[in-house]
Amino acid sequence: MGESDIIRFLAMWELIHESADEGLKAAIARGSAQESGDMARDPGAFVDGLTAMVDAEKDRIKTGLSSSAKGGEPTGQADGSKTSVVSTLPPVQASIDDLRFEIAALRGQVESLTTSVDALSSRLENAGLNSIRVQSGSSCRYPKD
Amino acid sequence: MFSRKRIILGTFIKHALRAFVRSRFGFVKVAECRRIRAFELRCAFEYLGPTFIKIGQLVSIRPDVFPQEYILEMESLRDRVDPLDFEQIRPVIMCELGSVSHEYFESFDTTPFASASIAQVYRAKLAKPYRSVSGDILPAGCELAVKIVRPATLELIEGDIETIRPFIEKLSRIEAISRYNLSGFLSEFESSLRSECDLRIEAHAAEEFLHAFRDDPLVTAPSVIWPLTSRSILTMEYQDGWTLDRADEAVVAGVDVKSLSIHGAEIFMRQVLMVGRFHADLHPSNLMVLRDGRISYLDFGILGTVPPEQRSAIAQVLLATVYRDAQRAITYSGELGLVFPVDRVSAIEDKVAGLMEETISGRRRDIRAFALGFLGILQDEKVEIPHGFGLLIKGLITVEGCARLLYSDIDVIEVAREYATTLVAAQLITPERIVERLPDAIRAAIAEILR
Repeated sequence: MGESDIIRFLAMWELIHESADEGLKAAIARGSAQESGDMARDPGAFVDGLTAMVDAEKDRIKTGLSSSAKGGEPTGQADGSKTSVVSTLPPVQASIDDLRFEIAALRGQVESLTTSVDALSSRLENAGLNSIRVQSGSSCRYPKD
Repeated sequence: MFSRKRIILGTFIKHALRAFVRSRFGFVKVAECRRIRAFELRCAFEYLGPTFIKIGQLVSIRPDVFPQEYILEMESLRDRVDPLDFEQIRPVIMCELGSVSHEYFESFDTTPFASASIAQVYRAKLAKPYRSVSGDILPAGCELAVKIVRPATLELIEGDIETIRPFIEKLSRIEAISRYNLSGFLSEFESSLRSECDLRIEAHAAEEFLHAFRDDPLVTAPSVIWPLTSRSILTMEYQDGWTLDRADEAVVAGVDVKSLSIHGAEIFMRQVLMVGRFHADLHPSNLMVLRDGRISYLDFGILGTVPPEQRSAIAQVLLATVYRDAQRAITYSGELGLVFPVDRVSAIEDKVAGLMEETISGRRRDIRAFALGFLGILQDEKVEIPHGFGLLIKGLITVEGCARLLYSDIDVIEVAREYATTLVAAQLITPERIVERLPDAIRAAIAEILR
């Protein structure tokens, strides 16, 4: 491949990039100008609408990154006004969170089972079930041992 | 038992006769006839108590089995019963919690603040801090809601089921009724009831929901206090706010109900399409707007599940619906277990396209009308509707209803459009797919430029 071929290839690459960029900007402009329901008009309108949605998301990410650089909330979603359809957590973090949840859920189930076993044991030991002292009126207070 | 059998039979005969007379001995229009029968059936269910109220509630979430007149009527069934005296509830606490109740309850209000056919709910206070499954520390003095299954409820309901089973089996043999598969419905009811009476299942579902939505600051569910939870007792954080039937009070308090209603609809789609488990018993009393502006889900007794392989097809059906593409909706419904007779596919597509035009093409789009109409078409065409599909459709209808209680002008189609578009795009635009398609795309672009 000669020198002029490389230049020509890079020029074509730049041309593709430039055309795509202009096309994208035009699609964003058309998509942003759509009224509610316009996206369903035809496939072209759908692509324009989708492109505008992607651009809006890009702006949200930019705002989030800039806020993060200034020491603010990193995701740009601190106000809860918009949550991503696709999970924002990195996969490893999500797996760790899932494992933590499994362990905590098991701990909860063990606590519940322990209560049941203790209650059964105490029923076996002592048949007296009147240890809750109900006060007159609508509320009862449990004495601390 | 014999007298209960007589009461049940007598009540149904009385209301069947009333329906017959009110429908002018069957001479009114079919839909009106069904509406009258549904009304009388609801009255009979309310009179006969807990078992039948629960059956009616299950009917209301099965639009895949029952005609829409019955669904609408059963939605208005009120599950309100007189509360049992605390003296009858106390043995349940002592049997299931024993001395732990002394350790963890600082106080316990013996007057229930809610009472339904299966359980009643009390307020209490936590005696010492508790670390919940989500990791939050609930402080001492934290307000609690304690749900307690009424003693002998399961036995009572099972007794009623055994009483009606022979009648149901006889009814199932009648050809006009056999397509409702009442025996199967009764078995499903029994199994759903057993799981509803084991409150640990509900507790775990609430924790799973909290975990799935941990990154969403606008959504919550009550945390469970596990040492105070057993088969018949569920102790949760008390949620302070307004249920959706009191949404106007939230508006007065300055809550941004418009954003919340849009977000509520998105949450449902996320449950179905991302998490794969969804709250299948949504109604205005099970959704609460909290004072801090979050939305809280309550009562996870009935859950729907969506296997991973079906989520993509559901997203496609949703996308086809919002873009009013009947052909695509029918194609992907097939992947969800609907079997269309080959010679009727084209006719069904035409009917669905007409329905889309009628219900979801104008300015005020009505998902409820579309969904019920769609199920009507399937029933007319004798297409068997899978259980999961019915629950899902019912869920979508309810979400729209609940969202409209918060903000009457919400357009759920518009919310679904953004959600489904993004999701399908995320499924399509994967690195592998881009690598696979990139050479073709570059070639096509060069060809276009050089043309």
